[in-house]
This record gives sequence, C-alpha cells and structure tokens, in this order.
Amino acid sequence: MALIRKLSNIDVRILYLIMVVAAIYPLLRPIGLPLPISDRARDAYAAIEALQPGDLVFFGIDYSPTQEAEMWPQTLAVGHHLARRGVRIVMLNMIEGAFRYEERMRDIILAEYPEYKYGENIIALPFTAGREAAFQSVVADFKGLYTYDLAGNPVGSLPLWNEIRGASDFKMYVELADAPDWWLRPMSQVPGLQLWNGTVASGASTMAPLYQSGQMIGFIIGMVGAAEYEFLVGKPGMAAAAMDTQSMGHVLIILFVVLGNIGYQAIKADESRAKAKRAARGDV
Amino acid sequence: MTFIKTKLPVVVTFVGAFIIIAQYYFDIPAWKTLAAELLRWNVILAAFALALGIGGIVKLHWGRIARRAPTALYSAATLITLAFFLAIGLAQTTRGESYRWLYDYIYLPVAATSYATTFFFITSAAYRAFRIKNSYAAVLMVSAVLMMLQIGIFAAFLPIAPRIAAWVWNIPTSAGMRAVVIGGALSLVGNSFRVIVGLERGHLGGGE
Repeated sequence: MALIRKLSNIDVRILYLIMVVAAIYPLLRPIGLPLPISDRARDAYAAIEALQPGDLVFFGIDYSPTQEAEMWPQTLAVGHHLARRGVRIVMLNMIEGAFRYEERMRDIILAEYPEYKYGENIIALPFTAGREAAFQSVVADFKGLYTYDLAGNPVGSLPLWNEIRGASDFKMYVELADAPDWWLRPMSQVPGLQLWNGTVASGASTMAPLYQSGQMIGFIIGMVGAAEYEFLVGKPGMAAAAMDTQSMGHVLIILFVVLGNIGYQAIKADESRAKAKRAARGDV
Repeated sequence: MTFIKTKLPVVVTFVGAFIIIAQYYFDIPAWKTLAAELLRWNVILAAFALALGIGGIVKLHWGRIARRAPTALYSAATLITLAFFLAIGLAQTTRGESYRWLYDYIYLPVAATSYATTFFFITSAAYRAFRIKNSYAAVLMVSAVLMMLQIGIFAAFLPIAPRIAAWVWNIPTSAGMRAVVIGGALSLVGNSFRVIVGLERGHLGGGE
C-alpha cells in the first residue's frame, strides 16, 4: 500500500522529464514503428489522384501558427500531390497568421515543379477577413473579391485569373484548416464542387458527420493523417518522423492514466475500509 | 437620438439579413448582385474589426500598466511588441524582408511553442485528473485509450487496435457529434432569427 501511495503521488516534474525524454529520443534515434494506412487516408488520396491535369482546384491554407506541427506536414504532402497531378491551383487564405505558409507552399511548388509558372497555372491570393463571410463572398462573387494577389500583382495581369469565371469553374476545394465547418457551409453551395479537408486532431470529431454524410470527399486528421499521406505520396517527412514520438507519448499517457487510477482506487478502497472499521468501533 | 441608438441598428440588421437570405429564395440577378456587394462590405468590416481588436488590446493592457497591476510588465512587453510589429508592417507591408524575418523567426516559433506547452498540461492531467469515478468516466477513458491505440507501437503488436479505433470514431463519436452539430445549427437559426427581428440586442450593448 505504501508503494501504491508513492506511485500515485509522484512529483509531476519527474513525469515531465520522462515525457520530454520519450519525445526527444525517437527524434534523435528513430525507432521505425509501423504506421498502418487507414482507409480514410487512402480514400482521401484517391480523391486527389482522380483529378485530371488542368482541373481547377482551390487550395485553402487556413490554420494559425499554433497548429503548424500538425498542419504544415499536411500542407506539404497535399501540395506535392496536387502539383504532381498537374492541376491549376488557386491558393486562398482566410486566417490571419497563415499567409507565410501559403507563400512557402507556393514557392516550393514553383521551385520543384518546372511545369508550374506563376500566374499561368498557380495563383496565391491574399488574406481575406471575415471567415465564413469571406467564403460566402468567394461563392457569390469570387472575381469581385480580389484585386491583388499575395505578392501585390494586379490579378488582371495573371492569365489564369482571366480564364476563371467564378467558383463554379472549380473541380475541388482542398481546405487545410484548424477550425471546423465554417468553410464548408458556404463552399457546399457551389454545385459540383468536391470538398476535401485536412484538419487538426481536435477538430476531427466535429467534421466526422460531414465526412460520413458524403459532403466531403476526402478527409485526413492531424499528424497521423499527415504521416499516412506522406507515405501515400511517397515523400515521408516531418510527420512520419514524429510518429515514433507520438507513439511513445501515447504509451506514457496511458501508463500515467493507469498508474493514477490504480493509486486512486487503492487509496479509495483503503479509506472505505478505514471508515468501515471506525463505524464498527462506534467512532464518530 | 433614441431612434439612431436603438431602432436604426435593428432596422439595418433586418434589411441586411433579409437581402442576404432572400437571394436563396428569389432568382433575381439584381438581388444576387446586391447580396454579393453586401458580403464584400462584410469582408471590409471584418478587416476593420481586426483594427478594433487592436484598440481593445491597447486599452486593456494600458489600463494594467496605469494601475501598476502585478502583470504590468507583461502588458508593457505586449504593447511594445505590438507597436514594433505594427510599425514594421506599416513601413514594409507583409512582403518586407524585416517583417518576414520577424514573422518567421519570432512569431511562428513562439506561437507553435506556446501551443506545445499543452504537452505538459496533458501529462499532468493524465496522471492527476483523469480519474475513473463512475461508469460514464470509465467508458470515456476506455474510448480515449482505444483511440490512442491505433498508431505505431500498438498497431505493431495489436493489429485489431486500429479497426477498433476506427469503429469508435465512425459510430459512437460521429453519432454524438452529429447530434451536437444539428443542435448547434438549430440553436444558431433560432438565435439569428432573434437578432434579425430585434429581440436580441446584446450586440447593441443592451439585453433583450
């Protein structure tokens, strides 16, 4: 019992130290744990794989820097896949802190895929305030919403912009967002537009019904989804490397939960026995 | 004056909402054009709301500094950082080299790191707060553990774990969230109706 009490009363700083070591060690010496690819990730991959060269695709990057660890690997994997399909990409951004991720992804695509020429088959548009209202404006009057692109060029000078009539010309909306469904409500009004989403782990349960109802054609979740997608695209990267760390973290959290509850139940049982003994003796 | 303060905002809200909603029921091109214009005005207003947010932050933190509150030092750091970023951003726009350097090497790492501190909160909570006190808590805990078992080391030794986790996600979790989403949507419709017809005046600085 003394041991159980000790185990249930460990200094939390020791736990922090154990977690930090468990998080850092696999990054320095990868363990190489297997990662099963879920059906959901395979379906999401197949949805983008079905796009044809020249299809118009919205690529929305809408997450704040706090979600970078989960969402930037998703952005890279999905961005590479879209570029490999040869689609025409129009990048959007409706979250204040995300414009740098949009710029970086644009630059990566232009650097690694020589067939992509800025203004001809890829455009990056600037941050638009208003969240759901901004998406509603994209649906109602996409071309009237923007006058300059992310780099400050007049949109009228971009050949791809002049080929677009409106949101209904687009085949798919790929949205990487850390917030749930405020983008989906307006975009689902565009007839024929397929919706594809990557989101953080904490937002997954909110999007689950929308995916199951068929409103979204593809859906990946958090860093696990990013790692799965990296393997499917053939470019294992940050997320794949972090899977060992995430596994170790999960093991330790489960261990801590079990230890804490063993201690709690043992102490509770001990106190019940002591209370019963006192009652039997007639102590108040 | 009473009309401008109390009645006019309600009228503006009603007219604006009516124009936006009615476009879904009447296929009139001029009406749709008007609604699209209103939505563009909304985007401009939202951008100004960000500026209003800056005003709110300045007011809050300046008050703490003036009162010499215990956190006055942090408030001063906030305001100095705000002023610095604002000055660089206005001078160079977001495309300037200095602004990008500050953004990439100070703001982004700090923001990501601040979220990473939840790592420690979760550790502490797992050990101290996640107690199974009744059957509901037990079900919740088992579900959480099952969801954590779907990757890496567990999937290697327990191949059925990912399938169980997928079932938990697809069936009970989605069912619960579906109810929440529908309930939230109905609540949103009801509350929006109250705002449109002027029953709800919280956004005007008053009650009902």
